[in-house]
Amino acid sequence: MIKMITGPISLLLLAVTTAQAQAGVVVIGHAGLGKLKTATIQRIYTGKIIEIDGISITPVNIHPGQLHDQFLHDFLNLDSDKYAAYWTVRRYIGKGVPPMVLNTAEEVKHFVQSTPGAIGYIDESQANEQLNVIAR
Amino acid sequence: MQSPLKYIFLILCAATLLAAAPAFASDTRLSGFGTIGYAKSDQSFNYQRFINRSGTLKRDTVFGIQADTRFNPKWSATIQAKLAPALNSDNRWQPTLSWAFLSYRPNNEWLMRAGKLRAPFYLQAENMDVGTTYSPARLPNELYSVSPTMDFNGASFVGTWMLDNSELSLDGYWGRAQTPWRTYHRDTSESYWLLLNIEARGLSLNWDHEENIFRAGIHTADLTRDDGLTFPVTMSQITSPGINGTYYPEQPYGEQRSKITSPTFNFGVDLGWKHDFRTRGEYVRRTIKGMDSGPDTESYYLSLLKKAGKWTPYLTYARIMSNNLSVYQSVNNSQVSSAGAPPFVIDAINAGQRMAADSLSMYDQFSWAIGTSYAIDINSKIKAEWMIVNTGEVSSFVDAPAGEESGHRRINVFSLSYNFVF
Repeated sequence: MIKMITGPISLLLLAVTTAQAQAGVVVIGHAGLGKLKTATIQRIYTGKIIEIDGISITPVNIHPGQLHDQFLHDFLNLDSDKYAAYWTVRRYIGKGVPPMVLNTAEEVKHFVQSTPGAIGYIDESQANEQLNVIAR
Repeated sequence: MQSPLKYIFLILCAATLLAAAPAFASDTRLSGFGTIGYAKSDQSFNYQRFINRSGTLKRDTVFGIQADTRFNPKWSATIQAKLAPALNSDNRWQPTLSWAFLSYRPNNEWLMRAGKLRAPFYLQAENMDVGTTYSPARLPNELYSVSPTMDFNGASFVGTWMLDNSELSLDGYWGRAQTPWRTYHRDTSESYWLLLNIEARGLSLNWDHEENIFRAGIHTADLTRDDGLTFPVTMSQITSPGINGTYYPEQPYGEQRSKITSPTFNFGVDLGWKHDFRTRGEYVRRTIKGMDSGPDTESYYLSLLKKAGKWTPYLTYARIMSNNLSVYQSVNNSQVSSAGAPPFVIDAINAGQRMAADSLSMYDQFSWAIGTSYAIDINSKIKAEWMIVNTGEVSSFVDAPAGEESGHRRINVFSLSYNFVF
């Protein structure tokens, strides 16, 4: 009997866990920013774009890890090593520094909501209706 | 030459100002880079100032720190200080202020900078001090030594235009610099430095397409001697009583110029291929206007690289050749004999011919380099290289032994370095 219950429960937990791991990355922006294309996100995070429609854009990264890697893969088509190498070169040719790094999704959400022109990314499961999702 | 203490003082003031004014400096980041490089040849004489069979850390070792402050999305400032062997001494290390500029980016397309900054010459010119940003142990000296300096006090602009899947940019700059130009007199085994005042300007067009980079540039530099002396338009020989033959006089003779102009053209390509192969090549044509004995050269190199996991082996061929070698040959081979003049006069004249030849800065050499880099992590690399250098008629990269020639030599150079950023 117990096996009959725990079996499906285990499968359900596995499905939920898998779904969470495969949850997408969403890009959130300060209120007032419209939807952005992937190419635009890429150019923002590589320092090529600093303003959109007259609004200065301030991107932030999250601490290196799975979410950061997934964002780089989905939106920049880069891995973390190539992204770091790109910014190392850009820094040492005097053309800027990489986006600021925040440690947690909560910090990202707070920064984006309180900073005009800010954009960041979080796990889709952590998004809510109060956030302005500008790309997914 | 300005005191390095002045630069250190300026850096400390700037760092203090940036750190102590959080309301003004919204985001200040410190970073640094370094290379600990060892190089050794199979020869007793020096190659590239320092490399001989005793081994040296001087050729490739460098340390740098950089502070980037972002005041707001449009305004920022960058300061970089570097510690490396002095350019005006073979025995000292010298801290220098590499960069100190203010940046203004009014929109996505334009970037303006003013202060002390590096000109966009070669593909790796701006990041040549940061060893982790490229795989070869040493950027080809045949090309990367062509400009006596790439750091100027002046201003620059960059215009960038996004195309469908590529990016076009135009760099322009103007600036002034003062830099020493080293010559080595083989018969006295001494190095001499000529302090040059340079005013340079140039344009560089860049096209980035996926993983490929194309760059073409045109640059002009006006050079004057800081000691107020002149440059000879033509190396002219004279005759004197009591001396058989003609010779090049030590004192300025014939038409002289207080300023010479050096137009330079460069072209570079960096291509990515399948299976992580890359080819990289550059060509530089340096000309000297109005002077037949200046460093009028052609340089080029071609590299093949293959990324294999953390390893990136490579093979590079590089070449530099002066287009006025006949002038060097004429001066170097100039010898007189006595027709009554005392021996010490003849000896002094003949020694003076070789010294004059040494001062001409002529090149005729090629090199093959095979090596590899190993990326320990994203912030550090180890590199190893074996380079074979062959000199033709002459090479001013070689400090030839007294009484001998720099030409017709083969030099093996082994290099090992640890490169890091933080």
